[in-house]
Amino acid sequence: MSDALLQVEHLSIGFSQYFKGTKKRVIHPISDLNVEIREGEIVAVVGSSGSGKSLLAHAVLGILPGNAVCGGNIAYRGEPLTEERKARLRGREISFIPQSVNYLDPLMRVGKQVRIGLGADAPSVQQALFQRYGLKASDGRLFPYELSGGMLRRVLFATSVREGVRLVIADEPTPGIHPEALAEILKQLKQLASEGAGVMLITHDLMSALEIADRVAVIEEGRTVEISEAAAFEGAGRQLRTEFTRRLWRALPDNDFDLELQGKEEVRIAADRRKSGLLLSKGALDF
Amino acid sequence: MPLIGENLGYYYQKERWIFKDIHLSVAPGEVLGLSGYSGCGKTTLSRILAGYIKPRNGRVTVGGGELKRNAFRPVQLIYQHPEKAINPKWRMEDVLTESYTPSQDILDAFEIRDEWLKRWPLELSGGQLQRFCIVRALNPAAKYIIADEMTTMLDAITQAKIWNAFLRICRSRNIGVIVVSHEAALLNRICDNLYKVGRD
Ligand SMILES: Nc1ncnc2c1ncn2[C@@H]1O[C@H](COP(=O)(O)OP(=O)(O)OP(=O)(O)O)[C@@H](O)[C@H]1O
Ligand SMILES: Nc1ncnc2c1ncn2[C@@H]1O[C@H](COP(=O)(O)OP(=O)(O)OP(=O)(O)O)[C@@H](O)[C@H]1O
Ligand SMILES: [Mg+2]
Ligand SMILES: [Mg+2]
Repeated sequence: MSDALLQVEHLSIGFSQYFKGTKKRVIHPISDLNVEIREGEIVAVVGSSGSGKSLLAHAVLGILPGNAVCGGNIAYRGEPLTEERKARLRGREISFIPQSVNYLDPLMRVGKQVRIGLGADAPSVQQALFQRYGLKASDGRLFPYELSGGMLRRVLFATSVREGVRLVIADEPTPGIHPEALAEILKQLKQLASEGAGVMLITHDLMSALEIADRVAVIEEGRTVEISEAAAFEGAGRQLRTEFTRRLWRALPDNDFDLELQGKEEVRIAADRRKSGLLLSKGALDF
Repeated sequence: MPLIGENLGYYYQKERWIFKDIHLSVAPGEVLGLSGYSGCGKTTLSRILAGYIKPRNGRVTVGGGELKRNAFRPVQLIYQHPEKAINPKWRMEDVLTESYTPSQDILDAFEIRDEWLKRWPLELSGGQLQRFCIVRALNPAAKYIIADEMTTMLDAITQAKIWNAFLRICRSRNIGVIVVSHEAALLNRICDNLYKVGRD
């Protein structure tokens, strides 16, 4: 593909660990990840906890820990993405919204952190971003520990909105925020894509992701097991290729509630779920 | 011996109240949901109920007695961001066994693997870290557990597994649970009662 912005092929990641003092071993949590993001495209990346989503993001950004050993190829705009290139592009052409709130500087007021790299009109841009994401102007004077969980997420997102961004890597940008702020963030990602940027949206919130994503990559235990068009996520999921993806799709609360009303036993669970303790039996919440 | 918050009020900056006049109570074995917009004070209220901060107004009691400082906390708090609740300089086995030694059954219920125990917190995924925080809170002496956005960043399958295991253990020990979440579907599904913090 000539217009591929980011191409990740057969990415593997291992970590060398020392145990009993001197013995060394290598563990391989990531064995075969493949993702391609074109200009103007939003690709959602989903998968269960520990499947390798954050490591994928960190590999593209060049922020894996020192004991990591990578295999496979990563290309950006047609050329290999070397560690030097990653360092040069990170925070400029390639922006990152981390999953961990520890990425914010604990000693810097959050307004200032958002203003970094915004140029001459930084104060007014920062004000506008705060307003867009439902943060008060006075919140800019707070330190990270003085913000609520959802406010931290919104600040993290605001730090990533920059002129000249071509690739956005967002690792769980939306947990714990209210629907209005969620809608603003989705709108912003869509806008960036319509201006030509590529977006990798790592999220557990498949339903929201489907509103804006073109394709969905599904990761299971360090491998990409499926890449499907967003449109394939409909109905009972018959167009989806793997059982795992179908389970992920059906496990969503919106779908699950429909499912519950189908079988007889399921109805009983729905009706009695608070008192019967059925909820707690194996499989009841296991959709 | 219920957990009761009476007339609770709090501010960080003098006289700028985040909330006032909150009354709530949870019985052993009950599951109470707390909802409200981002920044309305759910985490602040959770920290008060767990005894980490003192309310500016009102009081918190468990079975009639006020929470003691520097003693074991009968009300355990599972924090919204696991990466901030774990000492980055400790290996996971030390994090896990700090307050008690969990049984293999509990580790299995949360799918915590042996090989993770020798690792540092930074070497685990967000969801894996959160599972350690949950197990840590399930101390045999815990009477109440507050789960503050415990599974907000997890996929639906993992979320279901974790709630299933967590609530099963809480019911069997008659632990009262407060679930803080912005997800109405989750709250409706698992809570006996709901309490809304702040204005609409
Ligand atoms: N530094 C490390 N050393 C060894 N193993 C690691 C390291 N970092 C991550 N892992 C392992 O790699 C796997 C993938 O981790 P990753 O953080 O990418 O998961 P994730 O898909 O983002 O999960 P979550 O949804 O819980 O955030 C996990 O099993 C994790 O334990
Ligand atoms: N340590 C602190 N110092 C000053 N203000 C604080 C501090 N902690 C929280 N606040 C403020 O108190 C308010 C309530 O925060 P809290 O974390 O309790 O909200 P929350 O309901 O848990 O929100 P979220 O759903 O986003 O996690 C926010 O306006 C926040 O900025
Ligand atoms: Mg992750
Ligand atoms: Mg909170």
